[in-house]
Amino acid sequence: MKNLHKIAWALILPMFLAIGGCIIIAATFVIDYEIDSNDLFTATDFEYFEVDLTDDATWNDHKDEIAYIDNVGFVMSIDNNGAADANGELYIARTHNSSITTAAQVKSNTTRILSGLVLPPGNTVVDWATSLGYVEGVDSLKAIAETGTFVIYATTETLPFDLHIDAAVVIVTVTASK
Amino acid sequence: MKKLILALFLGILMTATASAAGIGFGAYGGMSIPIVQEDQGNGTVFGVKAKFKMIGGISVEPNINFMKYGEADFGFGARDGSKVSYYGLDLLLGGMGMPVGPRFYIIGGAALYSVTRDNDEDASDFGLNGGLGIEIGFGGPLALDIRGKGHVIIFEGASKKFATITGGLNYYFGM
Repeated sequence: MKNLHKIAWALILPMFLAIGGCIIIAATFVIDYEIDSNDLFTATDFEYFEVDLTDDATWNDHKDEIAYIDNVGFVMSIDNNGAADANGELYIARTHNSSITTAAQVKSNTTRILSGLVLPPGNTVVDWATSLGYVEGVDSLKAIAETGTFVIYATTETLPFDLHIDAAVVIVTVTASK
Repeated sequence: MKKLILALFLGILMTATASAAGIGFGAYGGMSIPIVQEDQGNGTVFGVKAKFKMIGGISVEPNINFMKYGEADFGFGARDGSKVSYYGLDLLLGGMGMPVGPRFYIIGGAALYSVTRDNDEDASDFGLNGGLGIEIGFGGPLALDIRGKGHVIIFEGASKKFATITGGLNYYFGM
């Protein structure tokens, strides 16, 4: 019976040690980055905004311990000032390319990460959970987001180009492990 | 390592089944609490288990569990929590039998955890758990069982962790 007890303890104790150790060395964080709304008027067929997570204290505390990016989502409030439905897409690049001057160039030089948005006339709010349903190119998105600095391009093909992004937040969920 | 632990547990289960001095089953429910996971909220957990008593106050519990994290709510918005189902095998020291009154026990086990969430990739991986519990017998086939456990799912070089606090009833055959 003593041997049985020893075996039982030998099986149970490592689990407690593993649980205790993992609690200390791994965690999941949600980092939100608010875009300056002054930068977000779409009078042409594209606009871009730069995201710099290195300004965020949580990111800085764990940037060297990132195991993986869980997901990247958005919250957006968009006014469609036109009379018809407008479409919208988001693209990502590591840095802004100043030679890009049209939406067509955005599409050919960056990675699409969100499509299928239909914006009726008036205000549309895309919440965090809903945005995740539109996100695509997840692997590229995660790989670029891991650098902490990247550029998001917003495009539309609907004339006239009269979309106004009132507010936008980029939400990055990160798992860090020492 | 995973296969070794699973093999050890399966061996114990077979031994327990063959030499079981008492067999029971239980159902339970309670609260799930994410640990250092900002993207999940407190939720619920339900499960059922079989219970095989071995000699020396050791028992083995195969179990099936269904858990749902609560909503993660931030200033900018909220998101539903993940659903987690896990199929495990636990080893208990102490607390078995049908005493009238409380008996404490220590519990440790392994499980296969499957995590799903809208718009996230499904994940399925091996994990460990351990904790403490108290079983209160009423002098018949029924006993009240209350326990707290910590869980660690090993995933992509890191881990996801949560705790469960559950209460339920155990029923022992032949008591």
